Amino acid sequence: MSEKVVESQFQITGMTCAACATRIEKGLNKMEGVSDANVNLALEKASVKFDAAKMGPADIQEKIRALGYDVITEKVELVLTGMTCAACAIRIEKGLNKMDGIISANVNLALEKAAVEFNPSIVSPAEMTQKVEKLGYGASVKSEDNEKGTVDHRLKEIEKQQGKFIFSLILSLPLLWAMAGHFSFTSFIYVPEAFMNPWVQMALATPVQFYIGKQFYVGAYKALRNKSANMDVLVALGTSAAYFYSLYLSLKTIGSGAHPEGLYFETSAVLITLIILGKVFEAKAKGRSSEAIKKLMGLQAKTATVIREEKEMEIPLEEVVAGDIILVKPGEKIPVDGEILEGQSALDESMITGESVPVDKTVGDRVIGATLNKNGFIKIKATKVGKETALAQIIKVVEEAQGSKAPIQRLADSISGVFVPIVVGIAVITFFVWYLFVAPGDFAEALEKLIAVLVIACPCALGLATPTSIMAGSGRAAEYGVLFKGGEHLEMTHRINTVILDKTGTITNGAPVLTDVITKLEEAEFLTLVGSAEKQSEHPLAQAIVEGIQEKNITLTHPSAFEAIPGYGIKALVDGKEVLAGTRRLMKKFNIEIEHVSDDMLTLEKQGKTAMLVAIDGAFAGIVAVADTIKETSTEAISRLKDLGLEVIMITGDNEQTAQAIAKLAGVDRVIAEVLPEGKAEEVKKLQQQGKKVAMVGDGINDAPALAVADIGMAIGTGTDVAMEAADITLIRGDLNSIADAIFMSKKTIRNIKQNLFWAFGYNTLGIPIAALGFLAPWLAGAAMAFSSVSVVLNALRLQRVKL
Amino acid sequence: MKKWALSAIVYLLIVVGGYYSYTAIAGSPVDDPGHSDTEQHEK
Repeated sequence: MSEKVVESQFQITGMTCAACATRIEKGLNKMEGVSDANVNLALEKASVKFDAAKMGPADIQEKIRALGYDVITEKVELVLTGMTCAACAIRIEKGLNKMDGIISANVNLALEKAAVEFNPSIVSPAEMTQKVEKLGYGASVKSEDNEKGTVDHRLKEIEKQQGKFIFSLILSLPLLWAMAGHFSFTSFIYVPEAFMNPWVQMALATPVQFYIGKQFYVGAYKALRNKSANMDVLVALGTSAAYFYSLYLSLKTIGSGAHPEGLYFETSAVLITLIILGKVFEAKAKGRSSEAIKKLMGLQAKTATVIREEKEMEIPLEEVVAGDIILVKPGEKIPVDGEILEGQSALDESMITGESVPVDKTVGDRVIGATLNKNGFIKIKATKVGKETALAQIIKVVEEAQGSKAPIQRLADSISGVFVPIVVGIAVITFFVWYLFVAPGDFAEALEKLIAVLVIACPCALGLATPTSIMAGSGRAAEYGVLFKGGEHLEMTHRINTVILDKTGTITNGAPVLTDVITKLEEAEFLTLVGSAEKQSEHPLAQAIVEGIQEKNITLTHPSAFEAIPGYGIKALVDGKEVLAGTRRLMKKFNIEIEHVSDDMLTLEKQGKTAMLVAIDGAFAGIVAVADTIKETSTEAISRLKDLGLEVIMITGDNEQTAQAIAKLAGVDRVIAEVLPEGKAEEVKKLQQQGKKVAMVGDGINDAPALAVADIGMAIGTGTDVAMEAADITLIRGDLNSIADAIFMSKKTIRNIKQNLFWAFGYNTLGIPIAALGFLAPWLAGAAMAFSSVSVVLNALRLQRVKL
Repeated sequence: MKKWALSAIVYLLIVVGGYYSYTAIAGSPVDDPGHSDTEQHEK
């Protein structure tokens, strides 16, 4: 292989001293293919000369990251136009990936977009668009304007293709009519004399061939110019063969007065008409498969009523800034993410979380933009606006997932890339076999078989099989609050056989609540004294006790004296009575007899609860216990996971006894307890070493290392911040049922992709021999080809109706 | 869409009209003995 040395610059972060620079330099110089690497600490730049035949910038970037540093890269999305099939997408992808400074480029045919990660010090988005244009396609950097433009462009494209279809249909119908006169079984049909005339036929077929069919010639020319082939090449070849052969026969008979035999004008015209019809359906279906994003975008409120300078004013959503005070009336949408300052209401969050029951919210609670205020008048403070809102983040994740490729697609891509030349070869062989052996000397017969092979073999269905399913599947999952970060995660999730659940915040609510009150006194009196005493404490357990007591409608008083004794508990004077609340050690410290309640204490602790002893005026008075409660849906969700045949494991930092108690309540059979956050990742690795495919489910912040190590990391959360970043899947609903939903959706999507690939592959592998053997007329091949793409897209769209 | 449909119909009428005008002027075309590609399509 010849050496092609190129030099690339990489902007590096994370270097602290010269040793770091040397380390990177040494690491890079050791790489096979790198001829020279220089790292400049001050500029934080690495200049690397490498053999492009052996490696790419992505390898260098990976090496730098493996050495513990990071490379600054940027991501850009290009909106593409002019692609007709998978081969076009592959060509653009290859072209971009060959450019210096491109780390990775992924082209999505269905979305008509390219997601490019690049090194900004080497290449700019403008250069990328130039490159795409050189390859014969249109490209622009994605912005909100051209996003709208894409939709307009799509609508215009559909309209144009519809017009072309009508035009060619009107001109093809007389040709089809004339064809009816050729068959003995349809010979009773009257055919006007004009339509039987070869010159009339040619006059009707010519505009279809060259005006309507111009797009195929242009596409084929662009492809061939770039030394590749696509479906346009096949269509152009097939229809041209039919058209020019008929033209040749017609010209040959000039002057002889006879009408030529074996004309195929109708074949070329009908083929083009059907292919254009297929394109119309395909464009319409493509538009529908990106509906999830449109739906999400449509959720946003258009305006917001803000209070500025003590005046209420209605302003467009874009003008709302963080910190604005916003009024939301009943029935209105919450414009941006915020926090309730005044009022309370039930909020319908189904559009974001998929949870159908409205959630009660009051002062201090967080509200999510685009959710619906059902019944109360609330005043909120905007905390996140624009691209920061939960909805904007969700849209971003869904878009990225829809634009990403699943590993299963690589197979389809590599096949589509070599398909066309092979098909042309098969068609030529078919022609000669027919011409020389099957029907010796019958040029027309052999030509017909050649056309049928060329046309039946278009690989468009193959190119659409995976991306349309990924788009529909990830879009549908998002509607249920399951956000897949990429196609690869959507594919991986169905292989999961072990689910590790974090305890706090995942299985449980993550906030302690008052669970037990044991006293021989009157409960209300006892709780008044305990609550009033604990009111002054800032300890989370004390706050849980106070909240629990207040929920029982017990009015608390203000203690006349209060003392927090760290590590022991509290001592307070309430209504002239001395109240002690805390641990066994506190009781011992004040010489209070508690031996007779040790069994009660043990029972509570075995249940995973934290018990607090209370003494009033020097005598033991009772016990209050608090515990982190299991989410209402956890038990059912865990049983669903078990029904799916998955091993469910709970992981927690709690002691074995408490952990076992919670696990038993939740229905989890296996517990890994007393694990530090950093130990969780180790436990995940251990399970992976046993050959298990592990999904780690956590709240995304302290579980981040484990989420990253696991085959699939699922973050339970609100769909924002760290959780979104750390995990492969974000479960917006704080409900474990979403885990089963994610696995179910992944299985459905993968099954759908396999159906599509089976159909697309099967269609081509069956269609080619059938056509070569002469069982398929060219026009039937054209119809079958046009509808194969449509059927693949329609099958993918079934995913949009999946019920979880 | 209408524009496309109308153009196609007008074109079709011109072609067919042209054909009949030609045959009216030049006389009836030769009977169609040769356009028997029936066999061709039926194979």
